[in-house]
Amino acid sequence: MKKLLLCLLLGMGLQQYIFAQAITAPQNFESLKLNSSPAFVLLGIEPDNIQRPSSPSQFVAGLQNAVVDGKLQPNLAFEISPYYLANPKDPNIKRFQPMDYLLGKKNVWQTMVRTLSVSLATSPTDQQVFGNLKPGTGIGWGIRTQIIDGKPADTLRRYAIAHEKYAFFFKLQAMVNSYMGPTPDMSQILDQAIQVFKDQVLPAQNIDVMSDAEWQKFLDKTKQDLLYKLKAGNVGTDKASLAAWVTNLATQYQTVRDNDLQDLNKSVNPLTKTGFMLELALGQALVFQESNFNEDAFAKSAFWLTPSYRWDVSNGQQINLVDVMGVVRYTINNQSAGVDVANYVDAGLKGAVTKGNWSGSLEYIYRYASNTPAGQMKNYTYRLTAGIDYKITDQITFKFNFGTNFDGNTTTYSDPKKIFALGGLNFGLPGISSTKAK
Amino acid sequence: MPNPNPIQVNSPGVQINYSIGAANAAANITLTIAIDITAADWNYVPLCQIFLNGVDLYPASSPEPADLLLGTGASLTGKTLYTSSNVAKIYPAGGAAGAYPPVSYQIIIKANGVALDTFPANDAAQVSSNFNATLLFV
Repeated sequence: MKKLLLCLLLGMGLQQYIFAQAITAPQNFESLKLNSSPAFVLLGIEPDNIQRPSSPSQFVAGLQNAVVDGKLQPNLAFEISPYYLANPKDPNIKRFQPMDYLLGKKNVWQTMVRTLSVSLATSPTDQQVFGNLKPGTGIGWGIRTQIIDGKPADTLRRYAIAHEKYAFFFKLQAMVNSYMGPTPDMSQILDQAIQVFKDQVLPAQNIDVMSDAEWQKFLDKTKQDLLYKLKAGNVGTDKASLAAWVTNLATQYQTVRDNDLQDLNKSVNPLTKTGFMLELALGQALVFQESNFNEDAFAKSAFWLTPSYRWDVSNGQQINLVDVMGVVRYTINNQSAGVDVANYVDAGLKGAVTKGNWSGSLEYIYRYASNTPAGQMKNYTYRLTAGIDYKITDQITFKFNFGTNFDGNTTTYSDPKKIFALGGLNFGLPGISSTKAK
Repeated sequence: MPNPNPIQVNSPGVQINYSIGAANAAANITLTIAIDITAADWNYVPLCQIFLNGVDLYPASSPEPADLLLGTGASLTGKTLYTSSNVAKIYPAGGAAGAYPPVSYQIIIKANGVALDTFPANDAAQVSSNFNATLLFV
């Protein structure tokens, strides 16, 4: 028990340390999705077995209820993102930080590193999920990371490209306007502007959504067009003429950027990611039987893939999202400890619709057991649940789930399936966020 | 005599003479640009150009520079400082309606960390604004 207390104190200490940093977290679309953490899934207390990957949070903690051993029990979990802890973001919360999660070119490895989250959860345990292990306290840990992390909203991407193009002309304008001499060499200035833009401006912005080849093509064409116009004699070669001309060009690009920015500001869902996402998760569960630290037993481990696809069909007034998700999971049970006589393979599908603060979902997961205990007829079970969420605030979500869960372990697969109905408030404690998008 | 505020909002910079003072001849002179937008949930996006006698002192352009070293007071005499900033307003929460909130913009010039001058400016209710200033150090 003392060791358990020590673990809790260490966890609380870590939490205090994290908050003491007062660092902004990535701008978060779904700030209260803790119940998707792998740690909860391993403990068998997840209200939603399949959830769309959410944006990584520097820190998020939450409290939720689940039925354990026929009783409603509170469960606690927290999740951290090592990348965002190790790479603190700009503390200026008023400066827009689109974050490299939302925008920016990344290869698969960089995506996985930046979206890696580590979760830890605790819950009372029962013998329905953990077989012959005596009821006690379960500790689950897990990690999840995105292999493919979707794409930003079109309005955000369009704004980002327009902003970067304007940034080039803004630099060019400043170079000509500050030139110390009567006749600037435009070819030389263009070469300098292109080099500075590629080497310094783009990396500093960190919202680059075009490839190097695309930028090179844009810059080459821009240089060619500008030099052609100069040679055609449309523009004078003195500083005043060139400054007026380049200022006019910069103003045109600023107007395009500003129009795209106004569209982005008006859109109801500017920071959501859409399209295909693929998340990899794995975790383990440990049971302290009768909550005695000396009677710990490794119970199970699992790894799974969650593919998902999101359509943003928002109108101008309200967020409307349609999600289709799946899961393929392999769970290894500690058979020698009597957790179960089989391992599990899960395959499932889920559909979800979000309208404003409301969200409804239906999920079905088929579980195949690798072995059938003596006297049992079935080596499969399933989970079929419907859920309704209402997001009251970014920190509080009302959840109601109704359906039938997996039948504990293989010794009960042949029993009649039981129905559960569970409603309540989920409390989250998201990391300090510069902006809470809907 | 105090140095005049050089900031022009949404119009080209007008060169003003800026006196650092003989007492600061050996001091390190720095430039800070401070931007704020007080309206809730609004963010700003800065682009800042700083050129001293045609030399780009801040090639990255963003974020806004803090305590950017210009040189010693004596070394700056006779040189022209060109600054131009574009500040755009963004509403990441989505669904912006109504007028755009103003941003506050300041140019702060310090000598050895002590503010010599703070020049403020505010913009109008529009999606982005340009703040321009040209100083000739005398």
